Amino acid sequence: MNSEENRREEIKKEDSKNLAAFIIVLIIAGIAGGLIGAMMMIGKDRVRIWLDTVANDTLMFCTVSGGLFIVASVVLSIIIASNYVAAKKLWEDKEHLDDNWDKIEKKISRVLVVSAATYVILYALYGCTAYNLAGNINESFQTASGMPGIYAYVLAAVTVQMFVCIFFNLSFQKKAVNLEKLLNPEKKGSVYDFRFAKKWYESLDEAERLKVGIASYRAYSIVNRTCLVMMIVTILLGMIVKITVLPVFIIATLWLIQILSFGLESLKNSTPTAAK
Amino acid sequence: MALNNRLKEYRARIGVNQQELGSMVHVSRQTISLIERGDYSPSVTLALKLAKVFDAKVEDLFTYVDDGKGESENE
Repeated sequence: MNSEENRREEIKKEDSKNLAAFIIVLIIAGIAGGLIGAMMMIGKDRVRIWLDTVANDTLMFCTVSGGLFIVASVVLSIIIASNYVAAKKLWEDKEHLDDNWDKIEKKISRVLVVSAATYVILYALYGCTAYNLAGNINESFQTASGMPGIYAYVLAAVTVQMFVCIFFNLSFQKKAVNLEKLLNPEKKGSVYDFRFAKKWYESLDEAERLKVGIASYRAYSIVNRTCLVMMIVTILLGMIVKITVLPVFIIATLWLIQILSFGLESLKNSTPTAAK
Repeated sequence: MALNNRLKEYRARIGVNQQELGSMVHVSRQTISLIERGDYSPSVTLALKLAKVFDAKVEDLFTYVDDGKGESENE
């Protein structure tokens, strides 16, 4: 047997070893899907009532979303500010700087991760609050006293809070990045620069780029799995209640963009320059 | 761990901290820390730069021990 035949045999063995586990997982997933589907059929009336409430009583849904927005924005802002203040304090303690270095880096990372997540959470909650805006405002002003209903005040507060949060977040992102630049003088880029991400990446050294690569691949795998689960849930939900096909298209678009961008970037980076 | 190193010892000899050594070879303090802890195997270029700073050979700084685990130590 030559070396290629040996290799083929090894590949075959590896495939058959994993095939059994793959089939078991498929069967379990099928059973789980069937059970979820059956449970959804049993609970379809409840799901319908809930979705009908969201669709018809938008005033209540949007007012509650506005309340959640205000609570979330305050909580997230406290997390961001407290981590930054703690990092700054550790940085000012020059005597123990060597011991505190990793703690400072961790706190700065927390500020940056939480502030990035804050944008997504607040945009989503603002989107829920402003859903059916014209209809809700119209309904909100149709009160017996002639005074606007609570929704109008919540919407005004949320809109002001949205701008405050954007500036607050941006300001703490800038402070955190500048502190990181004090810690690591080789880092380049300003948060006010539209090419910040590119400049920051270019100033990373080989070990940092490797860590970014590992983190990116893990994030890619997590998003792939999340898209698969969300697609299955949306398809099952669409079988029993009218949620339109929009959610399926949105998930498919995001999933496709992620797979194609990752695949094309990998191809671009693995192809020798002459072969491109 | 496949790659052992004596970076900390050599750094102490010339009396520089991780931040200063990082600046000398154009990498961050964390990268020097990762290499010293054995959590990152530097590229050939970086290993040569480090050897030059200490006026030593790469083999004096780094020794490879085949532990049969392959090349996944950077993760």
